[in-house]
Amino acid sequence: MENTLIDSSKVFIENDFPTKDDVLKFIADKASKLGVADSSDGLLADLRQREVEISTGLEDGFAIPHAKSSHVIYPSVLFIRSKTPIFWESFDGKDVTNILALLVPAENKDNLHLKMLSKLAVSLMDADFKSRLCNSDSKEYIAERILSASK
Amino acid sequence: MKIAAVTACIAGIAHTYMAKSALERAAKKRGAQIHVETQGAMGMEDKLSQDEIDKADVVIFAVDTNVTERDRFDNKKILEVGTNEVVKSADDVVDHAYQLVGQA
Repeated sequence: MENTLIDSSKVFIENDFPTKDDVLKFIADKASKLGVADSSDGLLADLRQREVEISTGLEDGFAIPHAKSSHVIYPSVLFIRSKTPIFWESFDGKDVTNILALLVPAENKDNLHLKMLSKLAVSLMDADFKSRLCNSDSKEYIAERILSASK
Repeated sequence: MKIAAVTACIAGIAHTYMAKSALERAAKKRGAQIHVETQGAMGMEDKLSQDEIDKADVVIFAVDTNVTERDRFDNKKILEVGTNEVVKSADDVVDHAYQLVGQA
């Protein structure tokens, strides 16, 4: 199977998370099951470390936890929605419901995908793009929007 | 008003590029000229020329880590902030840059 940045198998919209750390655990677990990461525990440690440095909350209920990690095999995005808003230090003080995890291997051999992730991050400053993502319940649509915002 | 800026975050994946976009928007709004160099996971991009640095009225560092080749900016007026501050409120940061050079 081709290693795509995101497809509907990387979109999770039916779960509920009590805390930010539960989301990070979920990301690490799914990334390892999807073959994006070689170690769930290793990736979790790197995601947690990044949050300690500076929180990844943005505005309007969005957050972008990310890691440049030796446990990531290929660049990938996971989209996670929590039914209950989660406390996550954010710019506007709002709790977070929509999470885009940006996962990148430690050794950079792939500027194309890094470029896509940076474009995606910039797209998250756009209100229209964010509202499209929060208002959709279709995994395919969400994956498609994220992919097209990265190009 | 001419601004030279460098953005750099820890992972170099997201905030470096969001900060660049936010600074460019805010500068445009105030009618300032800006050139933003990114120092991210893809290395240095849109690198500032020494001439651009020399001619800049003020330098903004939106960084969470060290600036590579910082000595290029010796003797410049520098406003140093974190990337989050810029992504959150770039307009205020650009205002502060104006204040720093007495053009508030």
